[in-house]
Amino acid sequence: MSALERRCRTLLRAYPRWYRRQRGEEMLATLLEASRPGQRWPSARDARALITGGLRVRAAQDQRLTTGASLRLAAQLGVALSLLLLVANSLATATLVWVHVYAPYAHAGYLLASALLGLAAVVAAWFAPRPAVAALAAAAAAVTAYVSWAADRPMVILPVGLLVTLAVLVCLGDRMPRSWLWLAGGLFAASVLLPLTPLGPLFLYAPLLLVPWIILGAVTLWALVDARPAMAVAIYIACTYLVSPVLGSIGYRYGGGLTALVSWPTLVYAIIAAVVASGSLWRLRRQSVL
Amino acid sequence: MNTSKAEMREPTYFVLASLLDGPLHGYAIIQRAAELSGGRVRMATGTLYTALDRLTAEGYVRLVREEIVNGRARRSYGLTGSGTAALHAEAARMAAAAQLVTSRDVPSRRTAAIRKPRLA
Repeated sequence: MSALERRCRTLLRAYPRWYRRQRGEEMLATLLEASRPGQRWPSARDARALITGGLRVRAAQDQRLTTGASLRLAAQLGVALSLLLLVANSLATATLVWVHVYAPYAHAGYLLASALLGLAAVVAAWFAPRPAVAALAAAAAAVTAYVSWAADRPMVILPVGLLVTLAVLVCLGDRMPRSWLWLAGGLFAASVLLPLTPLGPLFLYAPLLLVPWIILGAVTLWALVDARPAMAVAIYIACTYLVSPVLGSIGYRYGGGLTALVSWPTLVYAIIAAVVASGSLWRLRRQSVL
Repeated sequence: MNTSKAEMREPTYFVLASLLDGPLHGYAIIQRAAELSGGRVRMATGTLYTALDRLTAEGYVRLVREEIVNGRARRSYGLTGSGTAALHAEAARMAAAAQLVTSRDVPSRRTAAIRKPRLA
Protein backbone atom coordinates (compact mmCIF):
# COMPACT_ATOMS: atom_id res chain seq x y z
CA MET A 1 0.00 0.00 0.00
CA SER A 2 1.47 3.36 -1.06
CA ALA A 3 1.72 6.36 1.28
CA LEU A 4 -0.90 8.15 -0.83
CA GLU A 5 -3.34 5.24 -0.58
CA ARG A 6 -2.82 5.02 3.18
CA ARG A 7 -3.52 8.75 3.59
CA CYS A 8 -6.56 8.61 1.32
CA ARG A 9 -7.93 5.73 3.38
CA THR A 10 -7.47 7.82 6.53
CA LEU A 11 -9.38 10.71 4.94
CA LEU A 12 -12.16 8.37 3.83
CA ARG A 13 -12.78 7.64 7.51
CA ALA A 14 -14.71 10.93 7.55
CA TYR A 15 -17.51 8.89 5.94
CA PRO A 16 -19.57 6.48 8.06
CA ARG A 17 -18.67 2.80 7.94
CA TRP A 18 -21.80 1.76 5.96
CA TYR A 19 -20.94 4.34 3.29
CA ARG A 20 -17.29 3.25 3.09
CA ARG A 21 -18.42 -0.33 2.65
CA GLN A 22 -20.59 0.77 -0.27
CA ARG A 23 -18.37 3.34 -1.97
CA GLY A 24 -14.97 3.33 -0.22
CA GLU A 25 -13.00 1.23 -2.73
CA GLU A 26 -14.59 3.00 -5.70
CA MET A 27 -13.70 6.44 -4.28
CA LEU A 28 -10.19 5.27 -3.46
CA ALA A 29 -9.73 4.04 -7.04
CA THR A 30 -10.87 7.43 -8.38
CA LEU A 31 -8.58 9.30 -5.97
CA LEU A 32 -5.57 7.20 -7.03
CA GLU A 33 -6.41 7.49 -10.73
CA ALA A 34 -6.66 11.27 -10.41
CA SER A 35 -3.29 11.55 -8.62
CA ARG A 36 -0.02 12.59 -10.27
CA PRO A 37 2.79 10.03 -10.62
CA GLY A 38 4.84 10.01 -7.42
CA GLN A 39 2.24 11.96 -5.45
CA ARG A 40 2.51 11.10 -1.74
CA TRP A 41 -0.17 13.33 -0.20
CA PRO A 42 -3.77 13.95 -1.27
CA SER A 43 -4.26 17.52 -2.48
CA ALA A 44 -5.74 20.08 -0.03
CA ARG A 45 -8.81 20.34 -2.28
CA ASP A 46 -9.38 16.57 -2.22
CA ALA A 47 -8.83 16.44 1.53
CA ARG A 48 -11.33 19.24 2.15
CA ALA A 49 -13.93 17.69 -0.17
CA LEU A 50 -13.58 14.26 1.48
CA ILE A 51 -13.90 15.66 5.01
CA THR A 52 -16.92 17.87 4.26
CA GLY A 53 -18.51 15.13 2.10
CA GLY A 54 -18.07 12.59 4.90
CA LEU A 55 -19.49 14.94 7.53
CA ARG A 56 -22.47 15.68 5.28
CA VAL A 57 -23.24 11.99 4.94
CA ARG A 58 -22.92 11.62 8.73
CA ALA A 59 -25.28 14.59 9.18
CA ALA A 60 -27.82 12.93 6.84
CA GLN A 61 -27.48 15.94 4.61
CA ASP A 62 -26.29 14.05 1.54
CA GLN A 63 -29.72 14.12 -0.05
CA ARG A 64 -31.35 17.26 -1.31
CA LEU A 65 -34.39 18.74 0.39
CA THR A 66 -36.25 21.89 -0.56
CA THR A 67 -35.66 24.92 1.65
CA GLY A 68 -39.20 24.47 3.00
CA ALA A 69 -38.64 20.81 3.95
CA SER A 70 -35.31 21.69 5.61
CA LEU A 71 -36.99 24.51 7.52
CA ARG A 72 -39.73 22.18 8.78
CA LEU A 73 -37.10 19.73 10.06
CA ALA A 74 -35.14 22.59 11.66
CA ALA A 75 -38.33 23.83 13.32
CA GLN A 76 -38.96 20.32 14.66
CA LEU A 77 -35.51 20.26 16.23
CA GLY A 78 -35.82 23.84 17.54
CA VAL A 79 -39.15 23.02 19.19
CA ALA A 80 -37.74 19.75 20.59
CA LEU A 81 -34.73 21.59 22.10
CA SER A 82 -36.96 24.28 23.65
CA LEU A 83 -39.23 21.59 25.11
CA LEU A 84 -36.25 19.68 26.48
CA LEU A 85 -35.11 22.79 28.36
CA LEU A 86 -38.59 23.18 29.91
CA VAL A 87 -38.63 19.45 30.76
CA ALA A 88 -35.16 19.75 32.34
CA ASN A 89 -36.30 22.72 34.44
CA SER A 90 -39.40 20.83 35.60
CA LEU A 91 -37.38 17.73 36.47
CA ALA A 92 -34.86 19.81 38.40
CA THR A 93 -37.62 21.75 40.21
CA ALA A 94 -39.43 18.52 41.16
CA THR A 95 -36.16 17.06 42.46
CA LEU A 96 -35.33 20.21 44.46
CA VAL A 97 -38.82 20.29 45.98
CA TRP A 98 -38.45 16.69 47.09
CA VAL A 99 -34.96 17.29 48.46
CA HIS A 100 -35.89 20.41 50.43
CA VAL A 101 -39.45 19.61 51.52
CA TYR A 102 -38.48 16.14 52.74
CA ALA A 103 -41.93 14.77 51.99
CA PRO A 104 -44.01 13.75 48.99
CA TYR A 105 -45.58 16.89 47.61
CA ALA A 106 -48.52 16.71 45.20
CA HIS A 107 -47.41 19.65 43.03
CA ALA A 108 -43.96 18.14 42.54
CA GLY A 109 -45.62 14.90 41.49
CA TYR A 110 -47.67 16.60 38.79
CA LEU A 111 -44.59 18.55 37.70
CA LEU A 112 -42.66 15.31 37.38
CA ALA A 113 -45.52 13.71 35.42
CA SER A 114 -45.72 16.64 32.99
CA ALA A 115 -41.92 16.57 32.54
CA LEU A 116 -41.81 12.84 31.87
CA LEU A 117 -44.71 13.02 29.40
CA GLY A 118 -43.02 15.97 27.65
CA LEU A 119 -39.77 14.03 27.47
CA ALA A 120 -41.62 11.00 26.08
CA ALA A 121 -43.26 13.18 23.39
CA VAL A 122 -39.88 14.60 22.33
CA VAL A 123 -38.20 11.18 22.19
CA ALA A 124 -41.25 9.80 20.33
CA ALA A 125 -40.73 12.49 17.66
CA TRP A 126 -37.68 10.47 16.55
CA PHE A 127 -38.87 6.91 17.05
CA ALA A 128 -42.61 6.41 17.58
CA PRO A 129 -45.45 6.26 15.04
CA ARG A 130 -47.10 9.63 14.35
CA PRO A 131 -50.37 8.94 16.28
CA ALA A 132 -48.29 8.02 19.35
CA VAL A 133 -46.40 11.35 19.14
CA ALA A 134 -49.70 13.24 18.89
CA ALA A 135 -51.19 11.30 21.85
CA LEU A 136 -48.14 11.84 24.05
CA ALA A 137 -47.97 15.54 23.15
CA ALA A 138 -51.68 15.95 23.96
CA ALA A 139 -51.28 14.17 27.31
CA ALA A 140 -48.19 16.24 28.19
CA ALA A 141 -49.98 19.47 27.21
CA ALA A 142 -53.01 18.57 29.37
CA VAL A 143 -50.93 17.79 32.48
CA THR A 144 -48.72 20.87 31.95
CA ALA A 145 -51.79 23.11 31.63
CA TYR A 146 -53.22 21.59 34.83
CA VAL A 147 -49.96 22.07 36.75
CA SER A 148 -49.24 25.64 35.67
CA TRP A 149 -52.76 27.06 35.35
CA ALA A 150 -53.13 28.12 38.97
CA ALA A 151 -49.61 29.52 39.29
CA ASP A 152 -48.76 31.35 36.10
CA ARG A 153 -51.37 31.26 33.33
CA PRO A 154 -49.55 33.03 30.48
CA MET A 155 -46.55 30.71 30.94
CA VAL A 156 -48.79 27.76 30.01
CA ILE A 157 -48.83 29.06 26.43
CA LEU A 158 -45.17 28.24 25.76
CA PRO A 159 -45.01 24.50 26.64
CA VAL A 160 -48.51 23.80 25.30
CA GLY A 161 -47.78 25.73 22.10
CA LEU A 162 -44.48 23.90 21.65
CA LEU A 163 -46.07 20.48 22.21
CA VAL A 164 -48.84 21.20 19.70
CA THR A 165 -46.30 22.51 17.15
CA LEU A 166 -44.11 19.42 17.61
CA ALA A 167 -47.07 17.08 17.07
CA VAL A 168 -48.21 18.99 13.97
CA LEU A 169 -44.70 19.10 12.45
CA VAL A 170 -44.12 15.38 13.07
CA CYS A 171 -47.51 14.50 11.57
CA LEU A 172 -46.95 16.69 8.50
CA GLY A 173 -43.27 16.35 7.71
CA ASP A 174 -40.27 14.05 7.56
CA ARG A 175 -38.56 12.56 10.60
CA MET A 176 -35.51 14.20 12.12
CA PRO A 177 -32.19 12.41 11.47
CA ARG A 178 -31.08 10.27 14.41
CA SER A 179 -27.68 11.99 14.42
CA TRP A 180 -29.47 15.02 15.91
CA LEU A 181 -30.13 13.01 19.08
CA TRP A 182 -26.54 13.80 20.14
CA LEU A 183 -27.31 17.51 20.18
CA ALA A 184 -30.66 17.09 21.93
CA GLY A 185 -29.20 14.67 24.48
CA GLY A 186 -26.17 16.86 25.25
CA LEU A 187 -28.24 19.99 25.74
CA PHE A 188 -30.79 18.12 27.85
CA ALA A 189 -28.13 16.60 30.12
CA ALA A 190 -26.50 20.01 30.64
CA SER A 191 -29.91 21.61 31.32
CA VAL A 192 -30.82 18.96 33.94
CA LEU A 193 -27.46 19.07 35.68
CA LEU A 194 -27.14 22.85 35.79
CA PRO A 195 -29.99 23.62 38.23
CA LEU A 196 -28.97 20.64 40.38
CA THR A 197 -25.31 21.60 40.81
CA PRO A 198 -25.96 23.72 43.94
CA LEU A 199 -26.77 20.37 45.57
CA GLY A 200 -23.29 19.13 44.74
CA PRO A 201 -19.79 20.62 44.82
CA LEU A 202 -19.76 24.28 43.76
CA PHE A 203 -16.74 23.96 41.45
CA LEU A 204 -19.01 22.14 39.00
CA TYR A 205 -21.31 25.10 38.64
CA ALA A 206 -19.25 27.62 36.64
CA PRO A 207 -18.06 25.21 33.91
CA LEU A 208 -21.57 23.80 33.53
CA LEU A 209 -22.93 27.29 32.92
CA LEU A 210 -20.83 27.40 29.77
CA VAL A 211 -21.79 23.94 28.43
CA PRO A 212 -25.09 24.94 26.74
CA TRP A 213 -23.37 27.90 25.06
CA ILE A 214 -20.44 25.77 23.90
CA ILE A 215 -22.93 23.29 22.39
CA LEU A 216 -24.92 26.09 20.72
CA GLY A 217 -21.73 27.71 19.37
CA ALA A 218 -20.51 24.40 17.96
CA VAL A 219 -23.87 23.85 16.26
CA THR A 220 -23.69 27.30 14.70
CA LEU A 221 -20.25 26.46 13.26
CA TRP A 222 -21.66 23.10 12.07
CA ALA A 223 -23.81 25.18 9.69
CA LEU A 224 -20.89 24.90 7.26
CA VAL A 225 -21.84 21.21 6.95
CA ASP A 226 -25.57 21.35 7.72
CA ALA A 227 -27.49 24.55 8.48
CA ARG A 228 -30.63 22.87 9.85
CA PRO A 229 -29.38 22.46 13.46
CA ALA A 230 -28.17 26.09 13.41
CA MET A 231 -31.65 27.23 12.40
CA ALA A 232 -32.99 25.10 15.25
CA VAL A 233 -30.64 26.91 17.62
CA ALA A 234 -32.06 30.27 16.47
CA ILE A 235 -35.58 28.97 17.21
CA TYR A 236 -34.41 27.66 20.60
CA ILE A 237 -32.87 31.03 21.53
CA ALA A 238 -36.03 32.86 20.41
CA CYS A 239 -38.32 30.55 22.41
CA THR A 240 -36.16 30.45 25.52
CA TYR A 241 -34.82 33.97 25.79
CA LEU A 242 -37.45 36.04 23.95
CA VAL A 243 -40.87 34.36 24.08
CA SER A 244 -40.45 33.14 27.65
CA PRO A 245 -39.66 36.65 29.07
CA VAL A 246 -42.56 38.13 27.09
CA LEU A 247 -44.97 35.63 28.63
CA GLY A 248 -43.36 36.16 32.02
CA SER A 249 -43.92 39.90 31.73
CA ILE A 250 -47.55 39.44 30.73
CA GLY A 251 -47.98 37.43 33.92
CA TYR A 252 -46.42 38.44 37.19
CA ARG A 253 -43.25 36.40 37.12
CA TYR A 254 -40.78 39.22 36.49
CA GLY A 255 -42.86 42.04 37.89
CA GLY A 256 -41.45 44.64 35.53
CA GLY A 257 -44.31 44.53 33.03
CA LEU A 258 -43.67 44.89 29.32
CA THR A 259 -41.07 47.63 29.90
CA ALA A 260 -38.79 44.95 31.34
CA LEU A 261 -38.57 43.47 27.85
CA VAL A 262 -36.57 46.36 26.45
CA SER A 263 -33.37 45.40 28.21
CA TRP A 264 -29.86 44.79 26.95
CA PRO A 265 -29.92 41.01 27.42
CA THR A 266 -33.20 40.74 25.48
CA LEU A 267 -31.80 42.88 22.68
CA VAL A 268 -28.59 40.83 22.55
CA TYR A 269 -30.56 37.56 22.38
CA ALA A 270 -32.82 39.03 19.68
CA ILE A 271 -29.78 40.04 17.63
CA ILE A 272 -28.09 36.63 18.11
CA ALA A 273 -31.29 34.80 17.09
CA ALA A 274 -31.78 37.05 14.04
CA VAL A 275 -28.15 36.70 12.87
CA VAL A 276 -28.08 32.91 13.31
CA ALA A 277 -31.51 32.55 11.63
CA SER A 278 -30.64 34.69 8.61
CA GLY A 279 -27.22 33.02 8.17
CA SER A 280 -28.81 29.58 8.43
CA LEU A 281 -31.53 30.50 5.95
CA TRP A 282 -28.89 31.60 3.46
CA ARG A 283 -27.05 28.28 3.91
CA LEU A 284 -30.29 26.27 3.72
CA ARG A 285 -31.10 27.86 0.36
CA ARG A 286 -27.67 26.84 -0.92
CA GLN A 287 -28.14 23.31 0.44
CA SER A 288 -31.36 22.95 -1.55
CA VAL A 289 -29.62 23.61 -4.89
CA LEU A 290 -28.78 20.42 -6.80
CA MET B 1 -38.95 13.22 -0.57
CA ASN B 2 -39.49 16.99 -0.81
CA THR B 3 -37.28 18.09 -3.67
CA SER B 4 -37.74 20.75 -6.31
CA LYS B 5 -36.72 20.83 -9.95
CA ALA B 6 -35.26 24.32 -9.76
CA GLU B 7 -31.66 25.47 -10.03
CA MET B 8 -28.55 23.43 -10.70
CA ARG B 9 -24.97 24.14 -9.71
CA GLU B 10 -22.39 24.38 -12.47
CA PRO B 11 -20.50 21.19 -11.43
CA THR B 12 -23.80 19.25 -11.37
CA TYR B 13 -24.63 20.54 -14.84
CA PHE B 14 -21.27 19.40 -16.20
CA VAL B 15 -21.52 15.99 -14.48
CA LEU B 16 -24.82 15.43 -16.31
CA ALA B 17 -23.43 16.85 -19.55
CA SER B 18 -20.40 14.54 -19.35
CA LEU B 19 -22.75 11.54 -19.42
CA LEU B 20 -24.54 12.64 -22.60
CA ASP B 21 -22.31 10.50 -24.82
CA GLY B 22 -22.71 7.38 -22.69
CA PRO B 23 -21.94 5.93 -19.25
CA LEU B 24 -18.63 6.84 -17.58
CA HIS B 25 -16.84 5.86 -14.36
CA GLY B 26 -15.81 8.33 -11.63
CA TYR B 27 -12.44 9.52 -12.90
CA ALA B 28 -13.69 9.68 -16.50
CA ILE B 29 -16.55 11.95 -15.36
CA ILE B 30 -14.04 14.30 -13.66
CA GLN B 31 -11.94 14.41 -16.84
CA ARG B 32 -14.89 14.87 -19.19
CA ALA B 33 -16.44 17.62 -17.04
CA ALA B 34 -13.12 19.50 -17.03
CA GLU B 35 -12.84 19.05 -20.81
CA LEU B 36 -16.41 20.23 -21.52
CA SER B 37 -16.08 23.27 -19.25
CA GLY B 38 -12.76 24.29 -20.77
CA GLY B 39 -10.94 23.45 -17.53
CA ARG B 40 -13.20 25.61 -15.38
CA VAL B 41 -14.88 22.75 -13.50
CA ARG B 42 -12.18 20.68 -11.80
CA MET B 43 -14.06 18.43 -9.42
CA ALA B 44 -12.50 16.90 -6.34
CA THR B 45 -13.34 13.22 -5.82
CA GLY B 46 -15.40 13.93 -2.69
CA THR B 47 -17.42 16.57 -4.53
CA LEU B 48 -18.06 14.18 -7.44
CA TYR B 49 -19.46 11.45 -5.20
CA THR B 50 -21.62 13.92 -3.25
CA ALA B 51 -23.05 15.04 -6.61
CA LEU B 52 -23.51 11.43 -7.78
CA ASP B 53 -25.33 10.54 -4.52
CA ARG B 54 -27.74 13.44 -4.94
CA LEU B 55 -28.24 12.83 -8.67
CA THR B 56 -28.91 9.14 -8.04
CA ALA B 57 -31.40 10.00 -5.28
CA GLU B 58 -33.13 12.43 -7.66
CA GLY B 59 -33.34 9.71 -10.32
CA TYR B 60 -31.20 11.68 -12.81
CA VAL B 61 -28.32 9.21 -12.86
CA ARG B 62 -28.20 5.44 -12.44
CA LEU B 63 -25.57 2.79 -11.96
CA VAL B 64 -25.04 1.10 -15.33
CA ARG B 65 -22.06 -1.21 -14.92
CA GLU B 66 -19.88 -2.56 -12.15
CA GLU B 67 -16.54 -4.21 -12.80
CA ILE B 68 -13.33 -4.98 -10.95
CA VAL B 69 -10.25 -3.18 -12.28
CA ASN B 70 -6.88 -3.74 -10.55
CA GLY B 71 -8.72 -5.39 -7.67
CA ARG B 72 -10.98 -2.39 -7.06
CA ALA B 73 -14.63 -1.75 -7.82
CA ARG B 74 -15.22 0.50 -10.80
CA ARG B 75 -18.77 1.66 -11.34
CA SER B 76 -20.06 3.40 -14.43
CA TYR B 77 -22.95 5.80 -14.29
CA GLY B 78 -25.39 6.80 -17.02
CA LEU B 79 -28.09 9.40 -17.55
CA THR B 80 -31.72 8.43 -17.01
CA GLY B 81 -34.62 9.85 -19.01
CA SER B 82 -35.45 12.40 -16.32
CA GLY B 83 -31.74 13.29 -16.01
CA THR B 84 -31.60 14.05 -19.74
CA ALA B 85 -34.80 16.10 -19.45
CA ALA B 86 -33.44 18.05 -16.45
CA LEU B 87 -30.18 18.73 -18.30
CA HIS B 88 -32.05 19.99 -21.37
CA ALA B 89 -34.32 22.14 -19.20
CA GLU B 90 -31.29 23.71 -17.49
CA ALA B 91 -29.58 24.27 -20.85
CA ALA B 92 -32.73 25.95 -22.20
CA ARG B 93 -32.96 28.14 -19.09
CA MET B 94 -29.34 29.26 -19.50
CA ALA B 95 -29.79 29.78 -23.25
CA ALA B 96 -32.84 31.96 -22.61
CA ALA B 97 -30.89 33.97 -20.05
CA ALA B 98 -27.99 34.35 -22.47
CA GLN B 99 -30.33 35.29 -25.31
CA LEU B 100 -31.65 38.14 -23.19
CA VAL B 101 -28.23 39.76 -23.34
CA THR B 102 -26.78 38.61 -26.66
CA SER B 103 -29.88 39.51 -28.70
CA ARG B 104 -29.60 43.18 -27.77
CA ASP B 105 -27.31 45.61 -29.46
CA VAL B 106 -25.81 46.83 -26.21
CA PRO B 107 -23.18 49.53 -26.73
CA SER B 108 -19.83 48.75 -25.17
CA ARG B 109 -18.58 50.99 -22.37
CA ARG B 110 -16.18 52.73 -24.69
CA THR B 111 -18.87 53.48 -27.27
CA ALA B 112 -21.20 54.66 -24.50
CA ALA B 113 -18.51 57.00 -23.23
CA ILE B 114 -18.03 58.46 -26.71
CA ARG B 115 -21.77 58.95 -27.15
CA LYS B 116 -22.09 60.64 -23.75
CA PRO B 117 -23.20 64.25 -24.31
CA ARG B 118 -20.74 66.88 -23.24
CA LEU B 119 -21.69 69.69 -20.97
CA ALA B 120 -19.74 72.40 -22.64
